[in-house]
This record gives sequence, C-alpha cells and structure tokens, in this order.
Amino acid sequence: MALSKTKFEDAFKYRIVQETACDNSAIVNATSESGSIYAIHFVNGSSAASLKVFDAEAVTLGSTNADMVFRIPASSTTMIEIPDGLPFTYLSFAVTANPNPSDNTAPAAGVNVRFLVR
Amino acid sequence: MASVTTSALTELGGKFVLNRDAKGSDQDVTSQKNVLSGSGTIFLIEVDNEANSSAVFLKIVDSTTATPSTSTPNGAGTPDHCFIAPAHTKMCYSFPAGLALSTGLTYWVTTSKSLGTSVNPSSAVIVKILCA
Repeated sequence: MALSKTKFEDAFKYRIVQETACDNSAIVNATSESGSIYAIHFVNGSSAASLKVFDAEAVTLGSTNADMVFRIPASSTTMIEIPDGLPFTYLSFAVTANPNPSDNTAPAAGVNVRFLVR
Repeated sequence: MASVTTSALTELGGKFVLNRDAKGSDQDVTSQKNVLSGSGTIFLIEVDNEANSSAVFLKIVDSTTATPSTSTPNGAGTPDHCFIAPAHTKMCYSFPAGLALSTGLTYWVTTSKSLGTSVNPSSAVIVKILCA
C-alpha cells in the first residue's frame, strides 16, 4: 500500500489522494482535514471487489458501516463524478471483497483508488 | 408516486427512471425492482433529499429483485452500490463511462447505511436515474 497526496495547496484548490493498492486495511482521515469529494477513480486489475467510503475518523472493518459503497467490476476502470461535491469531515476508505457495508474480507488484490477533493 | 421508466431515442442514456417518492420498505419497493426490464448502464443519478432533516441512502443492486429488510451479509438486502444524500441536499453522481448492470436495476431509499434497514424516509425523496 502507498498513500500519496498532491501538494502545492496554495496553488491549487483541489488535491488528489491516491492509494495504489487499497485493500482491507482501511485508510483513515486521508486528508487530515475536512473537505468535499468531487470525483472518485478506481482501477482494478483483479477480481471484483467493493470500495467503501467512510466519513469516520476511526474505522473498524467488520463493524463500521460504510457511508458509500461502489462495486468494482473485475479488471475494470471506473470514474464517478460528484459535481457539487460531497462534504466530509474525515475521508476514510477501504476495498473489500464483498458489498456488505461492514465487510472485512480481503480483496483478491489491491485496487488503485484516487479521490479528487477540495 | 411509483417508479416510472421512460424511454427515448438519444445517443447516450435513452432511459429515464423517475420516482418522486422513493421508498425503502419491502412492501413499497415493488415498482423499484428491475426498472430497466433487464441489463443496463447508469450514467447519471440525482437524489433530492431537500425535504428531510436527516441523510438518506440510495441503494442499488444489480438484480431483478431485492428484499431491503434482509440483514444477512451479501444477501437479498445487500446493495452493490450505496449513495449518500446528506440532509437538505440534492446530490448528483455521474459516471462518464457508465456504471454497468449485467442483470437489472433495482433500488431503494432508506434512512440508514446499515444492512437490512428498510425504513422509508420521513418526507419524499426524489430519485432520477439516467440509463441506457
């Protein structure tokens, strides 16, 4: 897993948050500040999985319910745009094998997940 | 009002699903099952929750049917997709490359993200889905 975020906050209003191999180890409070999600992009080179997005500072996969769930088809690229932005206090996310909102099953492989936030 | 699907000949998204009072209870979701009469692709979703003081959740399953109250993990009440609409907001989600549904489009709107929740929203939630 490798979480990275764009810099130059003074030059750009938007930031990109990327996790190159997101799995069932939740990434919590990825931006370290509140904001809004404007787009989500994920690239999956393996079996189908589910992206879980939480507005929570702490996430316990297996008991914490995701605020949003997106099915990730096998070997696919998906783009979701949210033109007006979805506000969050804490941006936390994970990828699990099943759509159950509190699932904690590991996906077959990590998924590349990117968020456009402001 | 029940869920209504309108078809028109356009190049992208020729089917328009409109429900001016989307529900979540098992007995109220009959018209919200298999609204495309088969497979399809979603391009735009709008959830108008301006009338409610609490968040609602649009849940979509790639299936011809669903039973929202089923709390068994990954069972008949487990959605493939769950979209939040915060209190007093109108949310738009777009999928420029489409969101493919191989079996059918079945949806419901309820008050909790928890599995098995089938409580109807307090006030009407308007759902619009543009599909092909």
